[in-house]
Amino acid sequence: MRCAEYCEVVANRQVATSQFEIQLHSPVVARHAQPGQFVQMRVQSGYEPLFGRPFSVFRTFPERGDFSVIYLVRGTLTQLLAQKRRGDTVFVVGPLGNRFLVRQPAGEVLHVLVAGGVGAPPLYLLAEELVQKGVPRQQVVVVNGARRHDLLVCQEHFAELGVHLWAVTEDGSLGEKGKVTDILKGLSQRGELPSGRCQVYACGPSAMLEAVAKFAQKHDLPCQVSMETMMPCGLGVCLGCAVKVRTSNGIDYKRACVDGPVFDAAEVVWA
Amino acid sequence: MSKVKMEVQLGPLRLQNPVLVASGTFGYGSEYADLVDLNRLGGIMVKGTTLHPRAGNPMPRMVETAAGCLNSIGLQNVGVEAFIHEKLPFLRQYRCAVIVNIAGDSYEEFEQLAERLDGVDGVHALELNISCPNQEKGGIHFGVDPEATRKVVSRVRRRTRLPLIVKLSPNVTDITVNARAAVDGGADILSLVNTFVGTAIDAKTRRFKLANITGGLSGPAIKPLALYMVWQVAQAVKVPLIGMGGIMNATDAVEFLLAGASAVAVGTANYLNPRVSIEVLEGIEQYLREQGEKDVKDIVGTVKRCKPESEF
Ligand SMILES: Cc1cc2nc3c(=O)[nH]c(=O)nc-3n(C[C@H](O)[C@H](O)[C@H](O)COP(=O)(O)OP(=O)(O)OC[C@H]3O[C@@H](n4cnc5c(N)ncnc54)[C@H](O)[C@@H]3O)c2cc1C
Ligand SMILES: Cc1cc2nc3c(=O)[nH]c(=O)nc-3n(C[C@H](O)[C@H](O)[C@H](O)COP(=O)(O)O)c2cc1C
Ligand code: FES
Repeated sequence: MRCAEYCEVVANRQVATSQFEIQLHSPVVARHAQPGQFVQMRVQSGYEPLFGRPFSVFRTFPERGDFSVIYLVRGTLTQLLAQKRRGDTVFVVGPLGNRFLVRQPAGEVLHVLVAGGVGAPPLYLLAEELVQKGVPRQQVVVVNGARRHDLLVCQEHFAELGVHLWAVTEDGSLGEKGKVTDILKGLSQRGELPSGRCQVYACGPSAMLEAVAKFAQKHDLPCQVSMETMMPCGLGVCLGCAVKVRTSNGIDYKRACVDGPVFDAAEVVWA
Repeated sequence: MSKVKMEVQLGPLRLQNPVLVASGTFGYGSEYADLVDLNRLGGIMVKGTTLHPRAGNPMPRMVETAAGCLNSIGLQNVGVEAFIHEKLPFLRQYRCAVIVNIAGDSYEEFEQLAERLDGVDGVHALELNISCPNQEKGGIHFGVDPEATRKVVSRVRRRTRLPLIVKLSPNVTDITVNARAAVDGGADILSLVNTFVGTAIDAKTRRFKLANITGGLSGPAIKPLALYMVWQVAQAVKVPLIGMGGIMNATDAVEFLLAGASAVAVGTANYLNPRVSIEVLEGIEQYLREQGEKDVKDIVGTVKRCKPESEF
């Protein structure tokens, strides 16, 4: 079930440098959103920007009928979003897209969640689901990376879940110094990523996704990536969100908004 | 509430109301079915369909511009056979008219498409997308060359009994010339406009923003241009018109009716508000009631000149 409606802002607070968590009232999204799914949010001044933008669902509060996303202020829409106060409204369509597929039997798999910057929110929702479904906490490994400590999000939420958590920053200002793939390499070298019973889930900037996908391929680990493209409609009709994939018939385009945003890393043709 | 008559007759094509959704902006209907009551639409113009499936152009294919967007999707579609077998059965459940937008690279392709769709249950009309390159003429668009327009329309005309809509390209010097050519060829209805060719450049990276360099401009930015073309064509030909180009709300739609369109199509606006077509329909009805009109067809082409200065 999906909605397309104006939703009331419940809260909109800063969580990191240029990053905010906005909570919105939408019983449909709160009840139906799955880890990896997104909502298309539209705020305009006149006709600018014309289209809504996609944001991954971060937390859901089904009892209250609220959900939230974390957004990084980048351009016009997110600047307008940052000005929204409690009681204002935002046009929301969703939940949209597919979800991360949990490898089964979930209790026997090592789930490796790799987050880059503002890619962390949907992986938090996934980690929460895994824990709630009874997957032992030590079998949920989260590698949460960002350029600097002040850009790292969701860290305290992951910590609360009690999962096996790594923080990594490129400048070493928090946690390990380096990139998420450095942590993965370390884990692998210590034999902690057994290819037969591991599943990698990644969300973050394209360059990171590509690096994680290559790492996974090299170590024969199944890997799912949440792809970032522009998404004018979010509903599968404009074909402006194409992702190049390898199929049995050769190269083809899939739509990130309905066939994704989560793709099997092995099928993606990296630019 | 007094009832206004919304049914319209466009030549051989009857529509339960004059609000359609434009090709390429509503998929095959199923994508919107849980959000929009398809039974309430006048009709659905499905995604441009070619003889064989097409993968489309490389990314990036779309870019936002001031109050509009440029697209160079490259007619990515499932092809006519998959359309008939996989998409049409779903659409048959609904009351709204199904209009198949067809595109080809040659006269033969257009003919084969028309022949294939003729008599297929659930197809109510064809819309010829002639804004595509004619390979026999070095790639010049069918819709730009009046002689090619007339020829492609008349060749399709002979292959189908379906109502024939010809979608005009706005990328011409005088659109009335192309409109007359389409009517000469046997068009029952004209739809206009398709997108305006344009481009966008990123000053920082010094690169074009679209992989294809050019794209078609749509959205509110083109409304004044489209509205003028509809008015011009309404003066030039007798066949009914379907107006489109930047319709975002009911007022925009009413303006197209006043300019001479018997029906309208909502395009790009579907992306930002999936329910906009229903809002446009309800808004037109409300407008007619407020204006004391009983039948939507009575306002078609009734725009008058600006008040003379003395009356201000
Ligand atoms: C499925 C999906 C889920 C997403 N989830 C989130 C989320 O949870 N939180 C979040 O903050 N963002 C998320 N995004 C990205 C978000 O949609 C974009 O950042 C959005 O376009 C910002 O809108 P804007 O109008 O503020 O900026 P725009 O005007 O769209 O962009 C401003 C500038 O930033 C650049 N830019 C835009 N997007 C990116 C990008 N992804 N990477 C680098 N540069 C970019 C543009 O080229 C432009 O120069 C998601 C994207 C997808 C596809
Ligand atoms: C992404 C996109 C895809 C389109 N695809 C088609 C198409 O396949 N065939 C066609 O005739 N017109 C196509 N159009 C043009 C629209 O049907 C319409 O003529 C045009 O967008 C102007 O209306 P608008 O400003 O309301 O969108 C497309 C437009 C967009 C934005
Ligand atoms: S965003 Fe329009 S098809 Fe995916």
